[in-house]
Amino acid sequence: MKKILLLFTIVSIFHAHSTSAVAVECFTDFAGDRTIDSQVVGTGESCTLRTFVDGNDSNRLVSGLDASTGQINTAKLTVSSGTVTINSNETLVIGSLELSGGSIALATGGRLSIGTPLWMIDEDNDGIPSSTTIYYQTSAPTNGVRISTISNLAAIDCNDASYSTSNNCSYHRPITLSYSGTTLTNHDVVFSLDTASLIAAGKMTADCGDIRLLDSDASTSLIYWIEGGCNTSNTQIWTRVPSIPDGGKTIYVTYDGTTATNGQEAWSGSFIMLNNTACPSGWTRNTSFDNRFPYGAASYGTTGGADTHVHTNASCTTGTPSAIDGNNSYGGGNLAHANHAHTGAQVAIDSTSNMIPYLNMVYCNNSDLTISSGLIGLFTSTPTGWTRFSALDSRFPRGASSYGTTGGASSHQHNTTGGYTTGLSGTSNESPDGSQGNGNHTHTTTNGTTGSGTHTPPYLNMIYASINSAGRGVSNMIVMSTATPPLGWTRYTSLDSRFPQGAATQGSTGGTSTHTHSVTITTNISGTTGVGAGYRVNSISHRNHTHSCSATTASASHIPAYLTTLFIQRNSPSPTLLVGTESSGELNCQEYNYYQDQDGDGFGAGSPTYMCAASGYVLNNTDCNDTGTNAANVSIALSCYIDQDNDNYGINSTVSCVNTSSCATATWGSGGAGTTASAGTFSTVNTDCYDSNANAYPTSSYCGTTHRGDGSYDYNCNSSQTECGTDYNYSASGTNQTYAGISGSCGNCNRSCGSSSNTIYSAASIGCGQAGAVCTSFNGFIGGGCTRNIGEVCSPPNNACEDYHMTSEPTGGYCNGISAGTQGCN
Amino acid sequence: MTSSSSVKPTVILGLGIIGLLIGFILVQIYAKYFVNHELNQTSQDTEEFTLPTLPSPSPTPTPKPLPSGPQTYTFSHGGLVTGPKPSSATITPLDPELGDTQSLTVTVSHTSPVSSASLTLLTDNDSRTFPLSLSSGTPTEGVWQASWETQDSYLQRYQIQLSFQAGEEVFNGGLSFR
Repeated sequence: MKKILLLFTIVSIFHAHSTSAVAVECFTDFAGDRTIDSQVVGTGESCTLRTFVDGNDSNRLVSGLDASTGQINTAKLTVSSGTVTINSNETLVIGSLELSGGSIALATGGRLSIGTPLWMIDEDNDGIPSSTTIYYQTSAPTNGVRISTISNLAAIDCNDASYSTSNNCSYHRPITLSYSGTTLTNHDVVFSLDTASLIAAGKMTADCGDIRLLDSDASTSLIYWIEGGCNTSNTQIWTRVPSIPDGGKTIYVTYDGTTATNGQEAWSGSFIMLNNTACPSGWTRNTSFDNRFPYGAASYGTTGGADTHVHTNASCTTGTPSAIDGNNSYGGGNLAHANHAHTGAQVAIDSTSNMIPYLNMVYCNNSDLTISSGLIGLFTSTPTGWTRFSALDSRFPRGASSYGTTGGASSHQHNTTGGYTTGLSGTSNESPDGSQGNGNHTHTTTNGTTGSGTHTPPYLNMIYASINSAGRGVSNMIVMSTATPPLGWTRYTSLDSRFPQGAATQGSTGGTSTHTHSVTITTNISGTTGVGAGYRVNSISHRNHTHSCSATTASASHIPAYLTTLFIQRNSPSPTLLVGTESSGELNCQEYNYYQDQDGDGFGAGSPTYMCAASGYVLNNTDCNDTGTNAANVSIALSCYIDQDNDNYGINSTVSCVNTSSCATATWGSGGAGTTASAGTFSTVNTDCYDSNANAYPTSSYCGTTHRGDGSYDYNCNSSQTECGTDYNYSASGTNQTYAGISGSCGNCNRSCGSSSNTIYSAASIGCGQAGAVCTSFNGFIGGGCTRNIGEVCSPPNNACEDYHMTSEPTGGYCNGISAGTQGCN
Repeated sequence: MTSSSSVKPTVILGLGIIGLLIGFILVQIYAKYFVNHELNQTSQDTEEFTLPTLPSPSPTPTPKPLPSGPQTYTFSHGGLVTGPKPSSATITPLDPELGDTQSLTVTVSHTSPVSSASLTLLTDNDSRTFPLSLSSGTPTEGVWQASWETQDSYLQRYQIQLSFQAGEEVFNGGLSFR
């Protein structure tokens, strides 16, 4: 297809009358002859083409189509409907014009140039023109190129004296990423830049928003985010590199001091660090943590927990009385039995603090991680430049307006309050006389305390450390935050639903969310207990007895007052970064010879182009089929041999292009070895002796009943004919070679490998005509419509395979003298 | 001699004053240009680079320049175009100010008489339709005309759609200026 460019202003007003015509820019792909009609731009729309300044008359404009090379232009414009307007200050340049169903309106002064080439100035031949000026003339202007070679009409080359497809004339520095290992994908890396000096020099905007990160092609934009604020001598800039291969790569940072649009990734979160004094300059005290502990979660800001807790009333059924009456006296029938008990012994449990061991800390917020001296973060191990903050060992940091107060404990007890009346005891009927007292009685419970309970909440031991002097974030440090930054940080989920407890080593977990207590409930002496005064020793309870029983309180939560927060950990990027020296002028990446990779399989073909890395181009030219007609049929160059019969042995056919990276898994396809082959695989070896029979290959033990396809019985590729299982004619001179009706031959005795007769017979030893030989798989005609039966054992008198029957009336009417329809050994 | 001897000191004094003035002027010029130039050069030398001036990324003159005054267009039509066909059109002026009167005359010919004629003016924010009236000639060979007051800008969109009907046959085409 001819390369065509249509420029300038052509407007088509279509047949369909419309009061809402929309001007659209069309013909911007610059390929192929162009037809202006309603099918191109839609009914009711008009088509406005690009306009450019006329290089020979700056007061005029030029548009058009261009094709071909040299001094001609063959691009054809067909107006199939509507009207093309050429104003008096415009020139339409085309190769040819056809008005089929359309019209053209040419203003007085307007020009239509037929067959004239179009040129633009592109001195460095990078496809980006130096200006908006277009020339239409037969010969090329100085540094002029045909317009069909212009790749980007939407830009003007910022430096047309230097080849570069990036068209970036900002200040720029290379950033070398040194790395070895498997390819890293979407990897966040961080580098430092003295933005303060650049801003002071006017090379960078005050908010660092004009910074741009470019991938190794010096063109693809990378996202970036500044961690610790701009306008510093050590600005930390994170960027995400889509791919870092083994061997590393070079990316670029640019800035120009003028770009108004802030290119930085937005983040509205804050870092939260601890301090043992007031928050330093730039940091704001976070009062939300006052009287609360940080509690790991996926989101910031939820409150919960409490400073105290309570359990519901505990109760139990009492034991037997504390004393019985030892007198041998008669007691009557309404005495309390010596073994009686009471249900419903109950006590109330008071509210008690569940404050865990704490140290009051000052919580400080900052959207920039500029760490002032003394600020405290969390770590898995204490890094260089930081000192472990041991004051928090075995303690939890509790938010407060000032540092230092300690308190709390790991366990507690509750006071219990009695006064609850037990159930009735019942009476004993062992004595009929009821005059000695009232046996059916109750008690009231007494006050007491519960057993001790542990209220340490779920925790993870963390190392707290303070920075020795003002600095930046370090790898693997952990801080609290209100949101996860866009780059460079990952949420530290190990602290989810846990409280960070200070410790000398990180990692131990423990604690629970709830607890119970043991409690002993005791009654006082009942005022109505019957008196034992009868004849039965030890059969009634003493009038002054009490009871007791043991219970376990209900479970209660002891989670302290908390504020959920994100714990985030700073990434530890693998590559080593080196920021290079600054350059100005057009950013130009390292140029190499690149090859086009049309089918996107990572392998290129064709002639090289010395250029920057670009999408669709690769450094190799080893693709044997880069048609690009089907991206799924990717092709790479491999030395694979056709294995047409799929026996894993190829033959020395010319094949070096398959659609996979492995010969063993290669299959045929349109991007592969050929479109006509419909089956077959590929092999890395070419030692097959015959590639149309899967039984024929080196080391094969196969013995076919027929030749392999080319008349040869060499199935194991040893160049020896192995005719096992094939018909075999014996010499007429061999032993017992003569049988009735078969003159001079054994008669096509069939022998198959693997059967009882799989001996490789030879004409000189055994075969048909010998006693014991078996006629197997014998289907061959022996002449005249007579066939032999299978399985006949050759036997005397003549040991011949001569059992036969008549299958059809043979010529002459007989088969070896046997009448039609009869059979049997001769 | 007497006179010459008496004039000589005056002349010398005058020349001296002129010399001083010229010298002062030269000193001023030096101070203004040469010294400042050197200072500027020193200042520039302290800068590693000067900020680059980036060109406009748009290749299209925006808005597209328009011709001025009356403009006359001559039409050519393809063989498949049917119906009444305009052969020429004149718009006066092409670049009116707001409130100015603008007119269009169109010469149309056809074998059948034109039964209705109108134009639609498409501008940046507006779309207005006006009837075309036969100002001279006949419905088969005549000049059609309409006038209107300019009420909208036309920096981005500026087109006129023409519609002529003769029996069942219709011409819908037009002119596009922007």
